[in-house]
This record gives sequence, C-alpha cells and structure tokens, in this order.
Amino acid sequence: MVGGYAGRILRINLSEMSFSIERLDLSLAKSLIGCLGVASKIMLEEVDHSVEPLSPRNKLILATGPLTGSTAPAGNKSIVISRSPLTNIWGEAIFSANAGIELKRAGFDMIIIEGRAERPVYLWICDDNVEFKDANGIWGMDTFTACNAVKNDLGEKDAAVACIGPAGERLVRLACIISDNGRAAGRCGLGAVMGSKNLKAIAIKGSRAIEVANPEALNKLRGDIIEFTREKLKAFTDYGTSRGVVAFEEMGNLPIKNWTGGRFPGAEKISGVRMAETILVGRKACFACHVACGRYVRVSEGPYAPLEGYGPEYETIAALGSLCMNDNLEAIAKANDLCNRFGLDTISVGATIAFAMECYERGIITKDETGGIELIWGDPDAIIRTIELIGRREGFGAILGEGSMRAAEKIGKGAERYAMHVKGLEIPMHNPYRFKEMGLQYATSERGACHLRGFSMLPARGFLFPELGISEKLDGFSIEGKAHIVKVMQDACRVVDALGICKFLVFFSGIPLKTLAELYTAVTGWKTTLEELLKAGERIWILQRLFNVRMGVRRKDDTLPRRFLEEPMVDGAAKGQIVELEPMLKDYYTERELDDEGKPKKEKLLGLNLDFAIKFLE
Amino acid sequence: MIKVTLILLDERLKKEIGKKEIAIELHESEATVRCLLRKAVMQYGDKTLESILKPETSIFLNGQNVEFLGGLEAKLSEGDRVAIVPLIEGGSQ
Repeated sequence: MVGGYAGRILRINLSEMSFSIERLDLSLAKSLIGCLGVASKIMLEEVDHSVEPLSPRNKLILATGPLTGSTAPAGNKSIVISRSPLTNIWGEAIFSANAGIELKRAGFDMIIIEGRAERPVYLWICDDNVEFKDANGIWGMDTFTACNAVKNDLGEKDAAVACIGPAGERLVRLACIISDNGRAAGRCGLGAVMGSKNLKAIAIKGSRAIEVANPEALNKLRGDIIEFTREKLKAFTDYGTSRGVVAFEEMGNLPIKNWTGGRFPGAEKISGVRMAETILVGRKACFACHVACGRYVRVSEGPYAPLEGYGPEYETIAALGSLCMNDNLEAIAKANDLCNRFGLDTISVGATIAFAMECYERGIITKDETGGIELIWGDPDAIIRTIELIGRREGFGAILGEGSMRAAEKIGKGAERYAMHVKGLEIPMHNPYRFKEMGLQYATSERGACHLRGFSMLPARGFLFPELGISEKLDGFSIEGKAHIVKVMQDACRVVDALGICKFLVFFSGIPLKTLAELYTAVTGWKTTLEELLKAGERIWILQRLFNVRMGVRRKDDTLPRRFLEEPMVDGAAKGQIVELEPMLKDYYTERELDDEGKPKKEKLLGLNLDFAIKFLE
Repeated sequence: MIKVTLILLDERLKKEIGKKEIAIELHESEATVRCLLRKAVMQYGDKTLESILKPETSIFLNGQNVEFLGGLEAKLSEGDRVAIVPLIEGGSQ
C-alpha cells in the first residue's frame, strides 16, 4: 500500500461553479516528492505568459505534501501556489494551515482553483461534496471574524478554514491568506489572487484516515525525533522565532533602517526574550509539533490595548520593528494583528513602509502624498496608520499596497533606489551584507527575495549538514564556496517543503537529513534515500525556474538592489561590507548548469528525467 | 590597559551573572580573547567557564566568530566587543 498520498486532485472552476476529480499520477508524485512538484508541472503546462495574475485564467493551488497530516513530527504544511500579482513570476507561500490537513482527510492531495465567481463565494469541501456558498455576508470581514463566521454559517466548528481579509478582496498586491489557526501564507500577494476570483474562504472537513504505510516505523521515528530535538529547540519553545534578535544585532544580521544601519539600540526591547517577559500569555503549536514556537500575546494597557491574539514572528518583528527603527514591542504586536486581520504579508508591508520612510526622510514624498502621516523613522503610530491605509487600499496606502517596486515607479523622483526587493518581492529579514550567501540566495530564489528557500546562512552560523557536504563552519563575510552552499541548501529546502514538514524542526535541531528519507519511506512505503529526495528537490527547483523563464526571467533579473552592491554598510559587525554578487552568481550558474541567459540546459533536464519539460525551453 | 566589553547573550549565563554586559580591563600584553575569558572566570566563577566552553556556544569579536580571527588567541583592542552566543539564539557567527 502507498501511504501519504490521498491519490486525488480536486479541480474547481469558479466561473462555471463546477468541479471534477482527477487522479494523482503517483509515479509523477514519486519523482517530485509531492504536490509542490506536481503543481510545478501543472503550472508550467497550464499557465503561460499571457495569463495575467489577477485574471480568471490564473490558477490558485492549495497543495500538500506526503507528510502533511501524517503525524510525522511537524508534518503540517500546506502550500499555496499561483502566478504572483506582486512579482508576475512563480508565486508560492507555505503555512501550517489545518485546511491542508483536512484536505488530505477529505481524500485530496491538492485543489486547483480556476475561473472567477460572479459574486463573492466561499468553498465548502466535505469529503467528496463541494459546495459554492454565498459569501456576501462575510465579504469585508477581517480574517479571524470571517473564519468564525464561515464555521457558524456551516454549523461546523471542526471545519478548517483559510480565508482572505479586506486587503485580498481589494486586490492589494501584498495580501496574504490566513488560516483559522492563525498562520499566514504570507508572501507573493496570493491573497489578491483569491480576491480576484471572488473567493473569500475555503472551508474543509474530511472524515477519511490519512494512510501511513508503516505506522510502527513512523511511531518509532516520531519518538526518536521528539526526544532528540526537544531540548535542542527549547529556545524556540521559550522565546519563539525572535529568540535571536539581540544576537542578530550583535553579529550584523538584523536589518535596520531600510538596510542602511548596522546598529539598533532597541534590539533588546523587541526580542523574543522581552516578549516572554512582558506580553506573552501562551505558546501555540502547529499540528503534530512538540516545539510550539508560535506566540500568543495580550496587551492590557496603554495605547495598543486591548489586544489579544497571535504574536509576531521574528520576520514581523524585524520588518515592522528594526527595519523601520521601531522599538515598541506592543506597537509591533498591534501592527502584526492588524496585518493578520486585513490579510497582509507582514514582511512586505514592513519593508514597503521602511522604503516609504526613507523616501519621506529624503523629501521624495511629503505629507501631501501621505495624506498627512509623518513617516518618521521609529514612529509606531505612523506605521499603524499606514497599515490601515494599505489594508483598505485607501489614499497613500493604495500606492504602498502595490508593493515597493510598483510604489517606487509611481512615486518616481529616484525612489526606485530605495525599494529593497528582488523581482518585486521585498527582502526578508536576514542581512546579505553579513551573510553574502543570503545575497546570492535572494537573487536566485524562485519566488524573488526569500530567506526560506535555502536558509543558506545556517552553515555560517554553525549549523552543519555533512550529508550535503557542509561539514565546516563558513565565514559569512567570504564569498568562497557560497554558490555550492546556496545550490545544495535550496534543493534541500525544496525537499522539506515538498514533504510538508517544518524547516525549523529539520534545520535547527541537528537531526540527520537522512531522517527525511526515513520519514518518507515510513509514510509512503516507498524505500527512498536522501540522495533520491535531493534529486527530486533539484527537479522541483528546475521546473520552477523554467516557469520563471517562461514569464520572462533572465540572468539580468537574478540580482539585488543596488544598495547591497554599491553602498558599503556604515556600522556594526558588517561595517564596510558590500555584496560581491557577480562572482558568486557566475559560480552559481555553473553549479546549476544554467546557460548564459539563465535557462536550464537541455542536457540538465534530460539528466533529471524531466524530458517532458524540454518543450518549455523554446 | 585597554577596556573591552564582554556581552552575555546566553540567557542562563546572563541570569547567573546578573547583567548583560561586563566591562573588563586588560593589559596590552594579555589582550586576547583567551585572557579576557580567563579574567571573567576569575571574576565570576566556574559556572561562567562551563557555559563558555559548551560546544554549542560560540564567541564573537565585534560580530565576527573568533574562529575566523585566530580563535581564542585573537587580539583585542580598546573598545572591542566580545559576545558569548548560544548557537540556537544566533549561531556561531
């Protein structure tokens, strides 16, 4: 018996209010691990350059991995895929949504959503039954209210719901999708794709068991992994993902003042340790996770009270904190809550506000453009008011909600220089001045600047992966050998993402990576080695690269904002550094076997048994 | 004499010592990371040493891992910052 896969794909057409059920090609799934890879093939075949991201012809895919919902430790990830309205290329965001787990229980590995509903709807998927429910009553609601309203409307407290907020409805390009358990498919503006389809929410409930081929082996692995990792990940449990803010500031990794600063005296005030001492009231675990790095916070007094809800992650704390020079943790919690409720990506929102603050400081924009908001560094109220405008797509917020790349084009007057993005996706919160490999990773990630597609600074921070040939600590300031590190770490991350398991558990705990193959073998029943999984990870990366090539991405697009390339860091541990991208990129192209234009070579596709993809090279 | 700052980013260590930053004076002739740590141990006791010597802890000099600066023999100058960082909170670099 093959476990891990439900074996079926649900295809929904919103224009026709119809659905069909397709078989998942298991041999294809095997060669590509799971639906991240299968969806890559589908996107290549069904979405070409003529498909506008916000048009009915674009696809919105909710995919799972073979470990999703299997009870493998932290096997809880769902993947949302589309052509991104923010970048116009491969759009993808991963979250620990219960909706993905219910989807597997309903007997599907993936949903492909096409078309556009005439009026606002939400989808109700209960095993094989698919209903198109009227969403007029919930249109306009914030995400958490809408999730509850859907459950009430259905009378199904146990249904899992993922939805958009007002930002997605209004096609804000920074809009995300939020699940009822408080997790966000944040990046690439995929909430706007959902909004463009008049789709407010997806509610799912399944009654089938998620089959596991060898439950005894999985139980044994689960016990071993939990025992091995619990103490090692204790800092995640205690202090969450923002455990390292102060250390990051010390080592020059924390992004400060739209990437112009190297020191932030307020680091301690916004750290995970400070959060634990002040506003933290609970720790939240995703499905089947023993770590519980999620935060739950309460603010009872002061200007940001009353506030109770999911707390900010590291990326949010840096984006809405140090990047904007804001050291007010309660204000960050408020800004985070607003973003969640509007359905906005906190990374891109923080980065776009930091961009606007720099424009304001330089006199490129004034109060006349901002609608009276003084966008002064560190002003928490300016940040919060701007988020409200972005979420409602009003006034200056309508411009910023387009993302920093488009906002800079609209503002003009040289503003492009201060928009910190790659291919339209704002830079996340790890510093390429400090870890040069992150610069290369940002330049080459398939969805634009992404920290999670590679985690390539980990070897420089002391996390070693001998099975990937990374057995020594690396100097983050050096560019030597970095192309290889980025390539192998990108492929490894594609494996973890495709499996549907959490990267924090895999990459921060020191478990041997062969554990991934053991988990996959136990769940599916297919005896598989780590080498085979890594080969599949490479296939996925190549297919997504091909998709981007079809969208017009070439070597010139594999770059970084000029600031990183030309303006040396002024302060802190990375003082005097720039990112020497070009030599790293040259080596990377050799490692990846990309041609001078940035296309995968035909021989490479053949070598990876991706013969079907050769036609997309033309 | 030179004055350098020892920064404790390990929460347990910080609690044991009771503060995050310690200013320590060193003779120019003994201005190395090793001497600094020895002096800190003399001042604050063996528990500090145990914490420092854990394999998952690393030492930064002005934000750079001392492993790339000559290890514990790395030379110190006036105003330098030496930080003790647990791997999970920031990594060895």
